[in-house]
Amino acid sequence: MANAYLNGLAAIAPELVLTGFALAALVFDLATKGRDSRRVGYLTLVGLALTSLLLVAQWGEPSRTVLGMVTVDQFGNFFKLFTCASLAVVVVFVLNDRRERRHGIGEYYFLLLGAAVGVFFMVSTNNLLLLMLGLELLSLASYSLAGFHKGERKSAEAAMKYVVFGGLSAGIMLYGISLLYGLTGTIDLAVMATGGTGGVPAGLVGQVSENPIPVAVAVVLILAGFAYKVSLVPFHFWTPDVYEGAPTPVTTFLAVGSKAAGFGALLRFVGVLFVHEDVQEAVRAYGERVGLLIALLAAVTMTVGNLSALRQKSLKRMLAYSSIAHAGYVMIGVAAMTAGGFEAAMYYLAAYYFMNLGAFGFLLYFEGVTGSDAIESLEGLGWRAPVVSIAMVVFLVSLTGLPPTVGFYGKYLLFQEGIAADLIWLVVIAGLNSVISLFYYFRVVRALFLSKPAEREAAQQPAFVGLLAALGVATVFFALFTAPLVDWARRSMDLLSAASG
Amino acid sequence: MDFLHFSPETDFKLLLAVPLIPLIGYVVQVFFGRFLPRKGDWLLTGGMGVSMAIAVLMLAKVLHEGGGEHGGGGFFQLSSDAGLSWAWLYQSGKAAVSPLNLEVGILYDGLGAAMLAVVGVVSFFVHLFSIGYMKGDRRYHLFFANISLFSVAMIGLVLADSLLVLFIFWEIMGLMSYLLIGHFSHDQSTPFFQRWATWASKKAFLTTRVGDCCLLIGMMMFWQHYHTFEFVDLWRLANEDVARNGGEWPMWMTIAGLFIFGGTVGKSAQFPLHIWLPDAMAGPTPVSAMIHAATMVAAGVFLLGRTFPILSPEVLAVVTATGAFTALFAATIGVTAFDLKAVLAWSTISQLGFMVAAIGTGGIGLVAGLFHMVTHAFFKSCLFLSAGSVIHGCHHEQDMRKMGGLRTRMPLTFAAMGISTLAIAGIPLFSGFYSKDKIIQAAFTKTSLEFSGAAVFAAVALPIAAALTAFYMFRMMFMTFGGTYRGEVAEAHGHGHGHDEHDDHHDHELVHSEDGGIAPGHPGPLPVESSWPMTVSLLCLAALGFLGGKFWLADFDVLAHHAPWFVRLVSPETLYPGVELMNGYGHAITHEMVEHAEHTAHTLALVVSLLVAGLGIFGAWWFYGARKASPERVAAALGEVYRTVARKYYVDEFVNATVIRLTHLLAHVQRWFDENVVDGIVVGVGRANRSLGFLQAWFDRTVVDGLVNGTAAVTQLFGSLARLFQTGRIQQYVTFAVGGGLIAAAWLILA
Repeated sequence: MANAYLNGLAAIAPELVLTGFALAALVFDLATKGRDSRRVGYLTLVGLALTSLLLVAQWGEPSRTVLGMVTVDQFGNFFKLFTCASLAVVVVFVLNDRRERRHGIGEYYFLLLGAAVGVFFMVSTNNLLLLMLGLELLSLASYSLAGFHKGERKSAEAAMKYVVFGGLSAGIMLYGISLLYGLTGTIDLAVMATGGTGGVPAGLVGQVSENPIPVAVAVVLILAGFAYKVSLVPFHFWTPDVYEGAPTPVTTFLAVGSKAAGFGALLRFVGVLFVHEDVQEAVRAYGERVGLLIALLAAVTMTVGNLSALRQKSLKRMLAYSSIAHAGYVMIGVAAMTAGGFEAAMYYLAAYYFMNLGAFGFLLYFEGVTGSDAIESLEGLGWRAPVVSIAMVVFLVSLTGLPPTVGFYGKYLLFQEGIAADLIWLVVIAGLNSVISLFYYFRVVRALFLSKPAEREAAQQPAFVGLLAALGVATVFFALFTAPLVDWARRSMDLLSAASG
Repeated sequence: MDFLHFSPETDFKLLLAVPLIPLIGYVVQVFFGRFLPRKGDWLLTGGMGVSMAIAVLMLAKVLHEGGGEHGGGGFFQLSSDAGLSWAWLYQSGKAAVSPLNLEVGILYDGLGAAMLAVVGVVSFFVHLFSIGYMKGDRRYHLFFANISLFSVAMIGLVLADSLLVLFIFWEIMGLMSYLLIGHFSHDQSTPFFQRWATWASKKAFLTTRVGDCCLLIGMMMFWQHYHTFEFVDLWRLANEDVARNGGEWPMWMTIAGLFIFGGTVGKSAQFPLHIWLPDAMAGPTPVSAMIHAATMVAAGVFLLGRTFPILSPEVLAVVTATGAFTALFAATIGVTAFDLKAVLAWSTISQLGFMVAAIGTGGIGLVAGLFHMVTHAFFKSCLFLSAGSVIHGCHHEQDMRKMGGLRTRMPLTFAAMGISTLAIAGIPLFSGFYSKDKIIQAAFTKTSLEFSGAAVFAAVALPIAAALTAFYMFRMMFMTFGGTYRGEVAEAHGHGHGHDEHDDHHDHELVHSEDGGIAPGHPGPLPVESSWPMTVSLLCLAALGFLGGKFWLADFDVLAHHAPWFVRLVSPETLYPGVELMNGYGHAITHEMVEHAEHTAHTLALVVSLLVAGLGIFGAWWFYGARKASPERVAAALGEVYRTVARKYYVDEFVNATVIRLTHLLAHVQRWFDENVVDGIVVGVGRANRSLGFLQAWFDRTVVDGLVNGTAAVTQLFGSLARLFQTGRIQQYVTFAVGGGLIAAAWLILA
């Protein structure tokens, strides 16, 4: 018994280490009285590196459930590593944010690590309660981060809106979970999907036909909670305001790390409940209807996101809308409700990591240079800061979905899986949306290079510039050598085949 | 030769370096070329030199391992066999089921080895030559960058293991040829060249595009049936299909094969898409040397070599007939040209006709055609670079009537050009003799075995074309190097001046100019020999033009009883290992009969090719060397016939009158449609919009007064609508979200 407990603790070692470093960051900051917050940042990076190492050590291990509710599998591993990698970049952003104070911001890192702990639990459990807890931990940390610049009106307003909207969504989702619990008598997704044993009601399978209305309400309410996290229309309204108001590194985290975590939890929810190979036929059929609903949401999301981005004057707000549109693209893979679709969605998230971290990094760099986030103040920057600007062009090309970039290959996979799942109409809409997105992405390119050089001096931040250049290279590299990421996504599909329990 | 034994892995790494080195050079050159010392010419030339060394080393290895004494020891390597392919558009775990799982690999066999070495060598010497020739050019660094990528494209095409990869490089090459032919289109100091280059590059691009489209269609037709682009799979699947069919080639395969041949017609300038090649000389001469020798036109022939097993006998008959016709047709035009580069351009078209016709006959013809591609690359690049040297020396004069007597003024150029001329004319010991002799032999063999129209035509047309080749090449030699200098001599007249006064003279439309649009030169001091990078390149290439046939002097055998190196390396069996070719002769003709026919044809071909070469040279000497008869008088006597030939059989005029006129007509129709129908619709929409606008304004004022702040232009109506919801008020957000959730739930319940 004790042995099993120790094994369980070993399995969640990454989570434990991460939590330890979060607390260490807080204590370290207190002990040094916030004199040099940069050192806290470095400590955070060490913690992330250590956690990543532990995660890599779990590479290839079979899926198992420990401590009764934590599922340790390759699928969760993907999102945990993703979180560590994106957080590391965000920490470098914070360290290079020229508008951020240098002292007394130790809790910045504590909050980021706390959010990461939330993500870790949220993507690695079939237990809806633990999922909810993880999601709330992520949300609470995010609220504080969004309002980190308490003195700024925009930041405070963003945090307020985020709290209200997030609170509402959490309530809605919890209500959905309680409904589902009431219907099936379990809060474990795998048990729900495959049917209960003994005295437990027969899982979801009977309820689908007997109580269709409560089931539908429960599913939609839970989906609403995820939709809020990954900003799907119509649960996206907080996104532009919060993204604009929050400090840019935080926006980056919300757009990349938090969104991917939302997708991780959503994929697990949908995957284990509807797509898993042990799932009973009636539930699977119901899942296909849910898939159609998701496809509708995806279509609306990408269209609204792209059309709204068209007229934005602020680069930050434009990227916010663009991230909404991209959530819509990823949803194609979810709506396909197949292993291939999930793989494509995960590849696209990996692609999204490179191009969006890059784009937000550029935003941060150029805010530092010009003190503004308006697209028109970008004019001529391409000639002043050629390396970051060329990298930005690569990111924009990738966001548009043109070769030879990861964005292109990701869309290619998504479209292919969409067609395979008879969602041709959705793929057509996504294709048209990609064309629309060209207009607003290339407005940035035009401002950068087709205008006369500005007199402003570019900032000297070699480490930061190097990071952006590396992201740009990766954006192209992983499109030319697609195998590593595709294989990784495929390896993560033990979500759908591992024995439950 | 133990040092040549590499593991396959090393092989492929080395092969990969061949295109990669100049590619990296290209990237560096484009971005930083301007800032490098000497504008980076040494970088790309050096890089190309390394690539050449690797390519030649690999050829040595292949000759060593695969070159058996009696035709092909069979060297054939596929990187995908060694598990060294690059998974492009990779989809894990679906390799077996997904045809979209595209892999990019290297196919390296005897043909690839020979061609890779040729491309490397010719590219390197063209680079070297350009250092001297392009000196002082405004876009010197870009010229080197482009010509390097041009080589990369050809190298990639040679190494491609699938039609798709080949097509990608094929297109890169098309683009680079456009940029290079149009190199002078930015040079505002010579309006004539500027206009000509702009127009010629466009013409080349559009004409070859017709062929590219054909190739794409053919490629896709094969893909539709076999779901693969890999050469090896295509060869096998197609021939198995035909074998199962009892030797009958299905209709679609013939059509697809014709489309693939269409690609060759465009790229390798076969009739009727040959029109771009003579004008391609608007580019700098080194570019012409590249286009005419190792890249571009060779690509089309190479494509035939790679796709030969999937071409049905009907397609091959078309191939033979087209090639033979082009060979003869272009040779007659070559006789009438006065522009030095035009003579060479028409001779290229004619020689390409030889290669294409030979490949169409199959068997030894296939080998002979590919062999001619190799030898031709050497002597034609040398001829073009020599022409460049002459033109350089004569102050950009290209009209042979204003040259002469350069034998003593430019002795090295004379020697190089002379050797290459002997090679192209088919004089024994020189490389061209071996390949051209083989081609004529192939045509005779084919005729004697199956008395088909295409074969007979080739057997008649090719020897005549060979005689004409010898005639016009020696005519060129006599006019350029014989006699005395006929150009204007003006002392102390610098470069770059003296163009302006020529302007109004050359302001006529280029196609219709009587002398074929010969570029204007300007008077200058007496020609002198070119600088060392140019002459060294010339002499090295001339040496290859001499040796290229036998390649090593050890088996010095005039009458070619021993097979030349290429024939040992490449044979139909080793080119397509494991494939039972179904497009050869039928069952009625046995192997012995073929051998017998080849043997008979060999002796006959030897006599005929010696005879025609001698005849041609004698004719040229009669008219232009000794001037025993006046060519002008003959031309006058021929009257309309001569004019037709000199005007290139009015093909350009025909295209102008049909295709271009039709395009203009279509444009007019479209404009009419635009002005009357589309504009009508636009105006209608505008009116409707205005009414809508009024409606909306009314709506604004009365219903949502103040909430909707003047929605913007109609084109961005939707964007504005979406923004409408983004009010910034959290209460409204929550309302919208809950409303949306309710709709979703309702949909899930009701659907």
